[in-house]
Amino acid sequence: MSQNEAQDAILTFENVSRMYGPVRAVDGVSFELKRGEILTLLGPSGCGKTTTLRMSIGLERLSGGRVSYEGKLVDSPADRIFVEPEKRGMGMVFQSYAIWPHMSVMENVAYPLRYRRVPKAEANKRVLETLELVGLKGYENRRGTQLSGGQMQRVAVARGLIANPSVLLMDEPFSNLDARLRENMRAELKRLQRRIGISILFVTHDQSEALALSDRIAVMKDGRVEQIGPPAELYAEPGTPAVRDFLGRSILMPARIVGSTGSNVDVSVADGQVFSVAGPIRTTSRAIDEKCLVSVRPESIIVEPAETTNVAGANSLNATIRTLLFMGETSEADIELPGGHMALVRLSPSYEWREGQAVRLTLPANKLQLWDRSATDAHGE
Amino acid sequence: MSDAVLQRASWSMIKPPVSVQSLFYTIVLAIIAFLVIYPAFMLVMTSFQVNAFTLNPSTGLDNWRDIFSRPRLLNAIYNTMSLAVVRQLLSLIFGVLLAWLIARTNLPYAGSLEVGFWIALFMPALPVTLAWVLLADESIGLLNVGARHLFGIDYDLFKIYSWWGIIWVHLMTSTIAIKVFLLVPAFRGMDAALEEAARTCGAPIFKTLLHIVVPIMAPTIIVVIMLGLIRSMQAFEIELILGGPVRIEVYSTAIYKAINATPPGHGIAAALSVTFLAVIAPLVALQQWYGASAHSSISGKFSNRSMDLGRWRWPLFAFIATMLFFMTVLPFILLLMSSFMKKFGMFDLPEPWTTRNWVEAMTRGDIPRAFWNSMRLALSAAIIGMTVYSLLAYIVVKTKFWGRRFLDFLTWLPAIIPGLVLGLGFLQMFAGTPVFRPIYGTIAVLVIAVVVGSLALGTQIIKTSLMRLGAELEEASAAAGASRLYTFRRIVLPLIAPSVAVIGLEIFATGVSVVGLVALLGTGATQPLSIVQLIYLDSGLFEPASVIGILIMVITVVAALLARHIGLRAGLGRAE
Repeated sequence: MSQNEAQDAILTFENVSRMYGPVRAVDGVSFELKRGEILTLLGPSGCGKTTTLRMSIGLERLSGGRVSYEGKLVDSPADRIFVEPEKRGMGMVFQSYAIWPHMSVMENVAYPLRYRRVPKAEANKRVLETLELVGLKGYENRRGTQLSGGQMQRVAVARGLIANPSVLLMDEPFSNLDARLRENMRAELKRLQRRIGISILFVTHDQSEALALSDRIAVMKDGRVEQIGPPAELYAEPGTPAVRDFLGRSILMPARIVGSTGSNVDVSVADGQVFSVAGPIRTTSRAIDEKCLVSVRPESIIVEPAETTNVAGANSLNATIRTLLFMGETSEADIELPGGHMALVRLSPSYEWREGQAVRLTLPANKLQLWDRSATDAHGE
Repeated sequence: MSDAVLQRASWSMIKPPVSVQSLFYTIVLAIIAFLVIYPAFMLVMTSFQVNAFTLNPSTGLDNWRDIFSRPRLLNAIYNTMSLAVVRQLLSLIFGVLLAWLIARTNLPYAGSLEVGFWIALFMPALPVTLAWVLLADESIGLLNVGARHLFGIDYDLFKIYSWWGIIWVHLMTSTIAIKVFLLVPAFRGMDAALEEAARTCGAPIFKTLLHIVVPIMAPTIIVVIMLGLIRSMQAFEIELILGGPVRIEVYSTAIYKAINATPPGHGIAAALSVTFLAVIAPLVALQQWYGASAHSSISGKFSNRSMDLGRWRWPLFAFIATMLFFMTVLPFILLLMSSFMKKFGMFDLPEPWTTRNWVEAMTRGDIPRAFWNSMRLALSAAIIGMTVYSLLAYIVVKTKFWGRRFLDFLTWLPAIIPGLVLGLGFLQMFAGTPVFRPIYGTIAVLVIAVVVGSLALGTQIIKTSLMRLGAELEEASAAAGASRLYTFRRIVLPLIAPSVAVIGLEIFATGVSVVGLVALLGTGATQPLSIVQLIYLDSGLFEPASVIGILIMVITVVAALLARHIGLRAGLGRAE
């Protein structure tokens, strides 16, 4: 994405807020959508992500702040500027698809061209091209009601793209599709976006969708943007408990700070075992005896059968497999840590595993993060 | 083995299991068939009765020969149709626009304006007509008098006794209001994303109404037009008062004149009514055909956000508020004025104002009694009507009952017959059949007449709202182990409740203000307010008639507001 990062912002939110009565649905949100990128607003329901998306096209008005599109202010209450949705020339795909049941696929997709003075012959040609682009060639005469969910989805995307907008807004577009179709559509959308280079502002509550699809993700919570960045960065080094818990799984262990060496912090976990933490330190203090939490992604934990290694290496501890889950290409297991904590970890296919087996876990220091004890966050969906 | 299976299969095909449900549905069908067909049958029989009120009655085609030999019949058909079509076109444009503004935009005080249209719908036609006469009569109308005095205009600026006068008063009574009333709940049920998608495609806000909302709502709108046309063709009071003096005759007034002729021409009235059926039948057929193609557009999940009107918000509000003033407040003021006047519009009298009309109304026995009659009639009809119409609509739309198409057809029949004539049919059914004679002369007769009279409107509206309800919502309940009755009560009824409440109010209003349907059925002790009012009007006593008009207006408006309040508390109505 390095070639994109240098490019200009096409849609800019500056300190945007939206009030519903006394409720701050969106509270001081700022971000930039860059030309040619897929930016995803990710968060649990009610976090303000859909409101933010709708404000970018003017379906909701701002209570405060500014939104600019292609270098021009489109909504700014302080300047009394508001550009109507129909004058913004963006494309949008709705969660319910909003395919008009009284029109054919052709009429649905051609609709945006009605307002752009495109001659009929050219409009028809463009509709056919766009339908081919989304894989719906030959469906142009079907009625809106004669389509499956996936086909409606494609019609909605075609309608969003037909007028060559510079931004396509997508509001949970895949949430009404079944899992397999959802994964296919996800890959297809990203390929399509790479081909035509349109900027996409995408809203979802599905973290795996966000991780797979996005160039950057903005994680939202309670109307605010918690953290914004490339998926791998957010996943590896979450800045807040909300981001950590919303993206992927984490194993959290209560610990106590026992010392520090350079940028590393040494902590003692429940049974007195001392771990060295070399990942981001998010605690407010590094004082000795300070209570804290150690977090680690399950797939970062190296699990080996206890009998294969006698050496108690650094950052390792003994545990027992309680439940084994065979997943096809991998296996996962519930393991019992010293002190009775349970954790779900991924197992390497290089060994034979069985329930009740004693194992040795190694937690690489650079994959561990330290948090304040209060920094737990309810898991989202 | 396989033979046995085959045999069993064929057995079950030959002899479907008779369930309690289908037995119940059959009984319902039989009752409705009797109530609807018997009066119609009496009507057809009557059309062949010649010299019914003489010493030697006979049977023959004289009545039919008579009506077709009159050139006035064609003229009446033409007037009926042209008045109905023009009225429906105008009211449809306003109705759709107003319903959309109220249901789907951020129009200021949309809730209050909606209440305003509810009130407008309940305004009784007869007193409102008199109010407009008082305003725009050629000699005494306030507007014409004012124009003469203020601007020295020496011709009549407004002519209420005219073709356009009839149109105007209809638009100012229920014609526009009923469209708003029926369309608002339907518009509210539409997924807002369908409109928003059009806006994101570049459509300005009013274009989304034209291109998206109206076509998607077409099934509902067309049902509303059909009902409107049928109502228009049966309209009676306004045409009688405003068309009479300038010889504009419509079908219903022709029938009325035949009944009131000396000797009473019931046979001719019946023959006219049967031909009327032939005129209206194509409409019914068209509606049936169209209703079948209606698509389901409510799912369990939809967003209901409102469109921003921007700088049009306040001008539109002002326009609608003015319109409502003309529909509700102005007639009330004029009625109030006339109820305190010695003689309608006679300001030149030395002492024009008096409280005599009110004092007499309160002290006379007939008005308090009529008041209680009206209340009993309207309440019973509303409760029975809501239950019966929901049941019928459910059987027609949601079951596989063998007789459902026939039942659907039956619910349409009363709509074809004008109230006056249906009343005549019921009179002959109740008074002329020994089994029913004991209930003749009780309020039950009026209740049955009102419930049957609104059968088509009530059942159609609930049917439309049932058709738009996705089958999955019920299937989910059935899957959860709920019985059909329980599903109807807990799932279907709450979802269609706004429409059912709308119908309940409509029947209540009809019950209080109904004229034609019950004119022949209410005997002395059971006469409701509306009939007592008609009797006063008939005798030219406009001032006491205004007193009753105000009573009817107040009862219906209070009831409407009360019902709306209860509806809102039950979580019906506005879904925001």
